[in-house]
Amino acid sequence: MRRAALMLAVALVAGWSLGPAAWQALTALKPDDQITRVPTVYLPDPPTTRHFETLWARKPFGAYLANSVVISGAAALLAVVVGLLAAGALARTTGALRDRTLLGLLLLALFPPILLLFPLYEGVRALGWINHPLGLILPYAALNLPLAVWILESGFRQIPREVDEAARLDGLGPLARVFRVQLPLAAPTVVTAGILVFIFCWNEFMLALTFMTRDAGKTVTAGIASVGGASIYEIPWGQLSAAIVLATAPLVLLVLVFQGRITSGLTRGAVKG
Amino acid sequence: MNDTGHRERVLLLLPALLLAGLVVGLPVLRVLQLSFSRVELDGGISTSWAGLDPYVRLWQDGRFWTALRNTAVFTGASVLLETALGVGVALVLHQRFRGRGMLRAVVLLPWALPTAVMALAWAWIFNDAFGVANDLLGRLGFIERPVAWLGEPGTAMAAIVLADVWKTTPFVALVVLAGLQGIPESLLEAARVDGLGAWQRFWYVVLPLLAPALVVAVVFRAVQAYGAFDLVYVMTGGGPGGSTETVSLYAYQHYFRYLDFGYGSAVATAGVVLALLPLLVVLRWARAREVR
Amino acid sequence: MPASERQVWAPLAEAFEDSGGTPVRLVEGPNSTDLRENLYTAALLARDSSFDLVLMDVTWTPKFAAAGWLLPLDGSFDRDELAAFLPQALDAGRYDGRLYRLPTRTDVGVLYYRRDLLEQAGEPPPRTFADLERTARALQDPPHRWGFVWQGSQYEGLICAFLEVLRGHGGYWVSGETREVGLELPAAVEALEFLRSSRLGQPISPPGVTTYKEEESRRIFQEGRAVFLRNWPYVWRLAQAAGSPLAGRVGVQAVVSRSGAPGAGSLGGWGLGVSRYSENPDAAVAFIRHAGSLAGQRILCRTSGYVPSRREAFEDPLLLSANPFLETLRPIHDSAAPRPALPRYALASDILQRRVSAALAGLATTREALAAAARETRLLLGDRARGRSAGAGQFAAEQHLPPYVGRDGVGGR
Repeated sequence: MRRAALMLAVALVAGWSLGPAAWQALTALKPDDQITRVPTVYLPDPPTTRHFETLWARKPFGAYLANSVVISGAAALLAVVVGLLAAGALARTTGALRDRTLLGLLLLALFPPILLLFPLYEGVRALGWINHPLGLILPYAALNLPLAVWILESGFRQIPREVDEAARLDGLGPLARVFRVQLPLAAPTVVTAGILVFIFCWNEFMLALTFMTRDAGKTVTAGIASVGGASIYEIPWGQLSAAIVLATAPLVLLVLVFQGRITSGLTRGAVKG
Repeated sequence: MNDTGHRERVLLLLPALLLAGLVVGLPVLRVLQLSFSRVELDGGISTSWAGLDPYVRLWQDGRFWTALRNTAVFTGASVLLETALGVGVALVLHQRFRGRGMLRAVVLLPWALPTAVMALAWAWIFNDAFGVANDLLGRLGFIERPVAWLGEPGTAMAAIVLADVWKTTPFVALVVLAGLQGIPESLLEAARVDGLGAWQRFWYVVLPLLAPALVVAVVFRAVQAYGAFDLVYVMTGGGPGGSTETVSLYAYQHYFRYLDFGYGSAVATAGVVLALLPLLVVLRWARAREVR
Repeated sequence: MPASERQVWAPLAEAFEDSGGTPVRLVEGPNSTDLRENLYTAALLARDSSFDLVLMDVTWTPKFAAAGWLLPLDGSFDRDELAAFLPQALDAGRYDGRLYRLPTRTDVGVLYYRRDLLEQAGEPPPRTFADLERTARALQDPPHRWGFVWQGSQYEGLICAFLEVLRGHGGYWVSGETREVGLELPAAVEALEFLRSSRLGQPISPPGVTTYKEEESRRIFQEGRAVFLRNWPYVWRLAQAAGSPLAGRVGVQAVVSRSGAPGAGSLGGWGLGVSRYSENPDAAVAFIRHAGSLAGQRILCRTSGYVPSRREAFEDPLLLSANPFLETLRPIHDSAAPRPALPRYALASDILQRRVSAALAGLATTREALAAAARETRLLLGDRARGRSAGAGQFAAEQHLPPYVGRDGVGGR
């Protein structure tokens, strides 16, 4: 009885979590007339890849994906590298400095983006980085630093002090200690931090929408989501669904592969807090 | 802790603190400055000092207060639902069964997908003529006629809350799960031996122990929900009739549609300050309880 | 340009290149007007020099010009060249005395009616609001056929429709000269009441009218489910097209007014301006000249059915044969009235849209809605005296209406 209830719960949870995304995938594969049929047609019959083809031809989707990969990747790299330094230091600190620093970083992370948007826009514009990847990479890296540091710090904490001491006695300077001793030992945590920052950057919308005004420079999230807002007569839902599927596929992959890391990364901060 | 060690550490901390501080600190100062400014379009975009005028205008701005109320409703409903659901999902994930790892990955999925892109998906789901929400509800007998979800104020708010809850429940679930995993079995055993039923065990043993993690998650989420932009911008655009317009969205309109960076900054600033106050109260209350 | 207009502009660009002009690259954007406005705003704010021409709606000129994003065109076109265009359309491209936008097509709100139904019932086409209401009520048969269909969704189209009714009642939104807000005058109350009661109470309009934009309302009319339709000229061709159930049964006229004289339809239309950040301003101007020439107008308007902005186009045999409707339209366009030329027009419009929508939906009374709209509009216009009117109190029974002010604002009539 209890087993059955559990299985039902599992089914509900799975259905709820997968439902919307799965529905999108189904819509993307349906021929147009089946998309707008009432009552709703659930399974495409027969499935078609036409929407994907038209989409690829009409929008610079390849460019969107490339932009997302480059920008998110670079930002994640930058955030992790800079974060490593801070984490390396914090992990060996105790007391007020550590607590206050971590708290301070947390507060920074909590600022609603709308508050920062316009001045950041002005700054990026002044630097001539509107429509340039750097215009997003740097703000993304900086805005995700708190997250990176939180995750990395708890990973570095795990490394025994003796290892550190030994390295120092061997004559290694602080930078070398971070990159050659702590980093390899905390590699899984570093990967986790990198992945999480990558995901946040990929999904970011407000800055991406505002800082990239040219279509070809947009990230995949901004490129697709800035289409909405017209009547049913104007939005080609088939193509849009195909776009949504393509935009989310990389993330689905990431989750499937790195599920464990992501989980631990997310919970680390909250529980330790 | 030796001195060179300390200095070293501070040096290592500096880049991160500087970067994070600059990218937040300077903008906040600039926004404050702008919020006391008037922006005119007179052949160019010119800014001048306006003192408290923008805030006086804000006070009488019905649309701002509506946006604030919408944001509060959205945040409150969303956080409430996702906390309840999150705890439920965590409880399921905490059980032992085959495929638990798979389920965890599946549960994580909504959180990993871009809100803005999924907002489009939700708009399609809630489409009044062809959306699957109406179809399912109709088939299950819950509604007789298709509901114009995004066309009516109440249902539009419900729709965006649902979309938000879908996206953020995984986060709460995972945090709660970690908390659950930290509860010693012995405690639960003792409770069972004492004759406490499942529900009572949950309410009197598990929940209090989960409290710290829950509070952190809730506060985190509340702040995030408050600043929610992506979902509303893409899914409803603030409509219908401004009933889903949040403070973020309203500020954004002033920035990039009405070209009034001054007033937009006032909206954003006031919105944040007015949100921080209740949050601080909640935090104080949580701190006090934790001490107990 | 909206993605849907590619086939209209592509031949024009080709013709331009063929006659020796520089190659023109067309950039497609979303079909939604608001979204394109936001795209332009974002790009121009970022000083993006990747496009030279700005295809502007009739209400964008004040904003773009006031922000300093457009190059004045006065120096590039002489008086004779400009005199070739319809004055209302041309004026919509002026701001603060200078020209920033040359109209490539224009529009005016009109009233369509089922001539067959009216003739059958022996009713003449309506002249006043009372006529409209009476005839609509007499000939309607809800829910199969409604009396009066219009655009009631919360968007710019609603403003166009509302303004026609407002002007028809002798009211005004924002006076051009004094920046007075006229939303609390009796005329405005009557105007909003007219629309509101069309939908609530004893309706002549379907309840769903508050979700209709141009296409939805057109479909209702074209499927024979409405007696009167307020819409734009584009509907005519579609209604008269072969296979349309309404071919030959439709009449069109200016919108009604309280006095019975032809009302002032809302002025619409699109035109081209040159971005200040353009690196090819001369080539841009050349293209604009081409688009406004008779040859250009022919290309733009012949197959699309758009209304040209050039005077002689209305007598051009080629265009007339493709669209005989132009003849009827010309006098109607002469009394077209523009919307207020405010740099922050978008905000004024959003405010009014929201409040009028609320009243139409029954969420607010007419007076509440108008009072709120008036207050917020005054705040926008910079009256720091707590949103109060500079003049007398609210709902003064005796307010004389300002004279018709002129094209840079909206006057009463």
